[in-house]
Amino acid sequence: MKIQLKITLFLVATNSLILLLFGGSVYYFLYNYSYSDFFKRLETRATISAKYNFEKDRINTESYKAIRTEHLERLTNEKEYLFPVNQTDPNYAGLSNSLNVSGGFIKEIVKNKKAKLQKDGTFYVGILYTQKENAYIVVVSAENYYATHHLRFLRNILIIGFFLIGFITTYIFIYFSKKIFNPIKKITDRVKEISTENIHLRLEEGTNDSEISLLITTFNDLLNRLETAFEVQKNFISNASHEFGTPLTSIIGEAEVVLRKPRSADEYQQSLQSILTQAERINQITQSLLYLAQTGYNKKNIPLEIIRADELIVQVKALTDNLNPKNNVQLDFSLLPENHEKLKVWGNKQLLYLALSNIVSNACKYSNNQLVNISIASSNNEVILLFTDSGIGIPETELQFIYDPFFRASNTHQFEGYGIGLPLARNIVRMHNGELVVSSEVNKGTTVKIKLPLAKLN
Amino acid sequence: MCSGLIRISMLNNMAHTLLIPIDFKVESLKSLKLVLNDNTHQKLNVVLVYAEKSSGSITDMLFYSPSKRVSELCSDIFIEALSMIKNRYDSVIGELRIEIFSGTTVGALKNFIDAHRVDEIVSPSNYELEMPSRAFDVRPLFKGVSTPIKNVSWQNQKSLSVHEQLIALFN
Repeated sequence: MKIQLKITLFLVATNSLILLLFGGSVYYFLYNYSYSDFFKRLETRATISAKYNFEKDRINTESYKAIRTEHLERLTNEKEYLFPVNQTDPNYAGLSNSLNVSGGFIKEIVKNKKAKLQKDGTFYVGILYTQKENAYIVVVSAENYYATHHLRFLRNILIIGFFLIGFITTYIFIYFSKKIFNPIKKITDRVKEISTENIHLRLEEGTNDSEISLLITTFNDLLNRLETAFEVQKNFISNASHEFGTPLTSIIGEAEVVLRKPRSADEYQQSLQSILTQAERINQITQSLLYLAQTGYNKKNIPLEIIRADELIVQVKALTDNLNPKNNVQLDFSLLPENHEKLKVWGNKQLLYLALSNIVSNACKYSNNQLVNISIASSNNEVILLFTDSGIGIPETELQFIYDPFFRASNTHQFEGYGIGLPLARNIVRMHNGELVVSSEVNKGTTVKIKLPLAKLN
Repeated sequence: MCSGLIRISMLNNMAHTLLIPIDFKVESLKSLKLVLNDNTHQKLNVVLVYAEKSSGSITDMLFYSPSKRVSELCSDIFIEALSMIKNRYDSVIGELRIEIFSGTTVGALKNFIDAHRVDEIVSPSNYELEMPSRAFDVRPLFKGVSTPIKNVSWQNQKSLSVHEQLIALFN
C-alpha cells in the first residue's frame, strides 16, 4: 500500500473515531439524563396524585389540587391508575393485565414501595402509598415526548454532521497527503528520467531547508559522483589503451630493434634511455589518473586550510617559471582587493596548486608561450581568477567535451598531452565548491574563469 | 600661496563626487577603474548614471520605481564586476550609487548634477555605450554643463561572451 493512502486512511479513521466518540457520548448522556429526569417527574406526579386522592385532610387535598392544576403541565398520554392493594391476588395478574404491564412490576412496587418501567415508549412509575391500614398502588404513565422527538432530532443532526465532517476531512486529508507526497512523486519521476545516457540531468533544488530539499541535495550529490564515475569510465578504455599503448609500442619496438643483433655499450645506453623516457611517460599518466580518481571520489576526506589566493597564484607562477623558463606569464593585481580577508579561501593547498598549475601550463602550451595573463579579484563572496591566453583556442562544438577525461580537441595534434589536466582541475575546483568556466574562440585564445567561495572568517 | 595650500587640503578632505555614465555592461565600468587608478582624492563618491527616458504609459509611470528598475538592469556579472572594483578601492570609495537619469535636456542634467552634488564628470571618450530602446547616450548633454569633465579612454574590446566580459576590466 502506498504511504499516501496509508496516511489518508489512518487520519480518516482516527478522525471518524473521535467524531463517533464525541457524537455518541453527547447522545448517550443526554438520553440518560432525559430518562432519569422523566422518571423523577412521573414519580412526583404519582406522589401528588396519591396525596390528592387519598389524603383525609381536605385542606391538604385542596392545595395539592391547586399545585397540580397550576404547575404541572399535562404530559403526552398521561394516565393515572389508583387501586388498593389486594391480598387475594398475590400475582396481581388481573391488575397487570389491565395496565398492560408484567406482573413483576406490581410486585416490585409492593416490595420496594416504588418501581420504574419503560415499555414501547411509555414510561411507568408506580409507588405504594400507605395510609393508616390501607395501602394503595398509584401508577402514573406517560409518553416521553422529549425523548421521542427531541432526541431523535439530535440523533439525526449528529449523524448528518458525522458524515458531513467525515466527507470534508477525508477530502482535506486526501488533498493534504497528495500535497505532501507531490515533491516525492516529482523526485521519483525525475529520477526515472535519468539514465546512463542523460546522467547530466539534475533534480531541481528548492530554496528552503526542508527534508525534501535535503533529499534532493543528497540525490544531486549522488548523481554528481555517479556522473564523474561514468565520465571517467566512458572514455577510459578507448583513451587509456591508446595513451598507454603509444609509449608501450615504442618501448617494445625499441627493445626488439636493439635485441636483433649485438650492440655497442653506447647504443644500449641510448635505447635504454629512450625506453626510460617512455616508461616515465606511462608513469606520469598513471600518476595523474590516480589523482583524477582521488579527486573524483574522496570529496569529504581532504584536509582544508585557509589559503590566500594571491599567494597561491604567485607560487603557481614560480613553478611555471621553473618548469618552463620560456613562459610569458603575467600576474595582474590591478583589482587585488585592499582587504586581504577577501582573498582567503578554504582549500587544500596541494590540490589547488595542482589545478592552477595545470591550467597555466595548458595556457602556455597551447599558445606557444605567448602572453598569459592571470588576473585576480574578489567579489563579495568569491575570489575570481581569470586565466587568459591568446593561443589556438577550442572549437565551439567541442567545448562541451573538454571536461571528459582523455578528450583532446581536434586542433591539438601538434601538442603533447593526454587530456587529464582540465578535468582534474575542474574536479578539484568543484571539491572546493567553486566553479570553473572555460570560454574560448579558435585562434583568438581561451579564458578560464575560476571562482572560489571566500572563507567566512568571524 | 598659503591660501592655495589650504584650498588643496580642503579639497582632499572633502568627499569628491564623480558622475560616470554606464550601460550596465562590465566594460563601461572600466572608466571607473581608470579614474580610481590615478585618483588623488582621499574619498570619492561615485554616481553611476544610466540615462533612460521615462515611459509615456500612465501605468508604467504609476508603478515606476528607480531602484527596482536598476535591479532589473543589473546583471549578475555586472554586480560581480562592481563588487570587484569596490573591494579593490575599498578605502577610497565612500558611496557608490547607481541612478537613473530620465531627463532629456541640459537643464534636467544640471538639476541632476546639483541634486547629487557632482564635482566632476568622467566621460569615456572612445567607448560606445550600448543603449537599447528608451535608453540614450547622455554624453552629448555634458557639453552644456559647467561641471569639469574628465575624458578617459582605453582600447576597446569587441564582442565578448558573458564569461569573458570580466576580462574587459583588466589589462
